[in-house]
Amino acid sequence: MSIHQLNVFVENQQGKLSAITNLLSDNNIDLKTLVLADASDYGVLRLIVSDPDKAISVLTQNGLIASKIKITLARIKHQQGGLSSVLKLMDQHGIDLSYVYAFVATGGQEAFAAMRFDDADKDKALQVLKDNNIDLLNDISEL
Amino acid sequence: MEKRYYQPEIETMPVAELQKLQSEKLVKQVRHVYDNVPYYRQKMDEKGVKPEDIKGIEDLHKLPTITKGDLRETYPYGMLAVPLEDCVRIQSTSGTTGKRVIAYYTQKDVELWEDCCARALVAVGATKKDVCQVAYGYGLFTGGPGLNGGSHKVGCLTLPMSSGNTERQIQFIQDLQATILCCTPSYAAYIGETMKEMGIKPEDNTLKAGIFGAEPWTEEMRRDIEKSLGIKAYDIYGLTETSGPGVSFECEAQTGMHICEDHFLAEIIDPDTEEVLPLGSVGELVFTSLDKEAFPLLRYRTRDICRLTREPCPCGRTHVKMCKPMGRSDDMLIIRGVNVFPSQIETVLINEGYSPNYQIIVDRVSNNDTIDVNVELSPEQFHDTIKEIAKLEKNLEAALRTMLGIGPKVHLVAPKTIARSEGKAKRVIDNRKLH
Repeated sequence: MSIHQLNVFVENQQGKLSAITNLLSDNNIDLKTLVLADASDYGVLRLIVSDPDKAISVLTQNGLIASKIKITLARIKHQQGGLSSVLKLMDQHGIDLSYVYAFVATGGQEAFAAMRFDDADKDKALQVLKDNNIDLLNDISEL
Repeated sequence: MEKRYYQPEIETMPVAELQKLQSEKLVKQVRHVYDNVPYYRQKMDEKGVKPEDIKGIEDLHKLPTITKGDLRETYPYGMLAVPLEDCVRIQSTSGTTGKRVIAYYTQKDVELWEDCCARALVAVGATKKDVCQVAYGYGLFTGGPGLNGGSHKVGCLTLPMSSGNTERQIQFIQDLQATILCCTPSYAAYIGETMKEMGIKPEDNTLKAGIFGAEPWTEEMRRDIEKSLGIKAYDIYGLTETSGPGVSFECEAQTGMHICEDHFLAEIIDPDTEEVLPLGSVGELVFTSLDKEAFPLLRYRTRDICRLTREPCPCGRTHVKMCKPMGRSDDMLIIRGVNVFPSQIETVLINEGYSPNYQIIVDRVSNNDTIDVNVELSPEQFHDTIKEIAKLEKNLEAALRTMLGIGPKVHLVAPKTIARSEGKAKRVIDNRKLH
C-alpha cells in the first residue's frame, strides 16, 4: 500500500535543477509530481516518476545522488477540506508526518496526498487510513 | 615614558657582548639537553655531533634540527630534561590528530617567560601605574597566562578577563579605566566594533596601547584597531613550544619584533636544504632555547617564513628584529589564533565516514576569521528529509570543533563537485590577504 518516491540531492546553484529534469526527460521518464524541500545550500528534490529505478540509474550515472523511498499515496476528494480530512485523522491518532504534499492528477478530477511517516508511526498510520476507508495507491499507473 | 626597558642591561647590551653571552649559554644548554634527553642525544649521536663540538654560536649549525613531529613523537614526557617533580606548570598547543604538544616549565622557566612578556609590556609604555586587561584565553593556551605573568612583573593592576563576554570586557575597560589591552588582533577589532555599536567613542576610553598576537594580522588591520580603540597597537610573537608569547615583541619604532636573544637564539634556514642563510635573507625561522630547564629545544623549526634584521633601532634595544611571519613552510593555517592543519580535517572526515575530498575556505569578515568546509555527501548518507541531512552537518561540525578547537561551518555538496585539479587538489582557499 505504498509507492516509490524518487529523492535527489540538489545543490542550490543555477542550472542544477534543470540538469536533473533534462536528464529525466531525455530518458523518457515521466514526471507525475515534483516538490523541492530547500535548506540554504542544498535541497532535496522529491519526485513521483513513471520509472523510479531507471531514474536512479540515469541520475547516478551522471554523478548525482538519488534514492527511492516508499511513501503513502492517498486518494483524497478534490474539494475544500479534502486534504484536511486526512490530516485530521493523523492528528486525532497522534501520528507524526515527516512531510506531506498534495497534488491533482491529470484531468483534474482527482487529488492525492503523498505522506511520509516516521518509521515508528508508519504501521499505525496505515491501519488508521485503512479503518477509515481511505483509498491508498499501490502503483504509479493508477495516477 | 619614564622606564623604557624592563631589563635595560640585557635589552641594550652591545651585540658583541650579547653574542658572547649566547655562546656561553648555548654550550651549557646543549650539555643539559644531551645529558638529560635520550631522544635528542640519539639525534645528535646519529649526526655525529658531541656536546664538546659546540663551543659557541658559530657551531650551532652542527646540531640536528627538530620539528613539531619530533615533539609529537615524544609525547608526553620524551623531551623533558628535568625530573617531573621539578616542573610546576604545563601549557599546550591546540592539538593535532589527537596528539598535542605539551610544554613543561620549572619555576625558573615560568619566571623567564614572564620576564619576556614584561619586556613587551614595558616596550609599549607599561608601568606599575597601568591597568592591564588580559583578554587572551587563559588555560592551556599560552596567551592569557603569559601576559598575565608579565603584567604582574611590571606591577600593573592586572585584569585576568580571558577572552569572550565582550560587553563585560568593555564594562571593565570603562569602569576600571584599563590602559593596556592584550588579546588577539581579531578580538581587539571585535571589541572596537562593539564599542562603536554601544556608542562609545575611541577618545572616551582610557586605553592607550594594545599588545596583539597569536595570529597573523596586517598593517591595515593595525590601523583599523588603532582607530576604533584610539590606541597604539603592537605586535607580539611566540609559540607554545618555546614558552609562549614574548619570544619577540614590537617596540615604539614598530619596524619588526625584537627577539629576546638572551633566551632564544634565532636562525633563518632554507626550508628545503636546512642551509643556514645570511642575516637579511627570507627563510624558515629556527629557535634554540638558551636558558630552558624543563623543555629545552635545540634548533626547533617553527615553519614560519621570516626575515631577521640587525639595524640599529631608535628604541635603543640591540636585540635582532624579526618581521611579521610572511607565510608558512608547511600547510598550517592560523584561524582565530588557533593552529589548524588540513590533515586534522581529513582525519575527522574519514572517521565520520565522509569522502576525504574536501575544500577549506578561510576568509576574514569584519576582521574576524571564518572557516567553511565543503564536504561531499555520499549516496549512503543521503536522506529524503532535510532534518536528517541537517543532522549530518551538525554532527560533522561538532566533530570538527572537538578536533580543531574552533567551529567551522560545514556545507554538504554533491559528489565530485569539489574541483579535482591536475594532480594535487587545492584543499585550502585562503581569501584573507594576510601577507
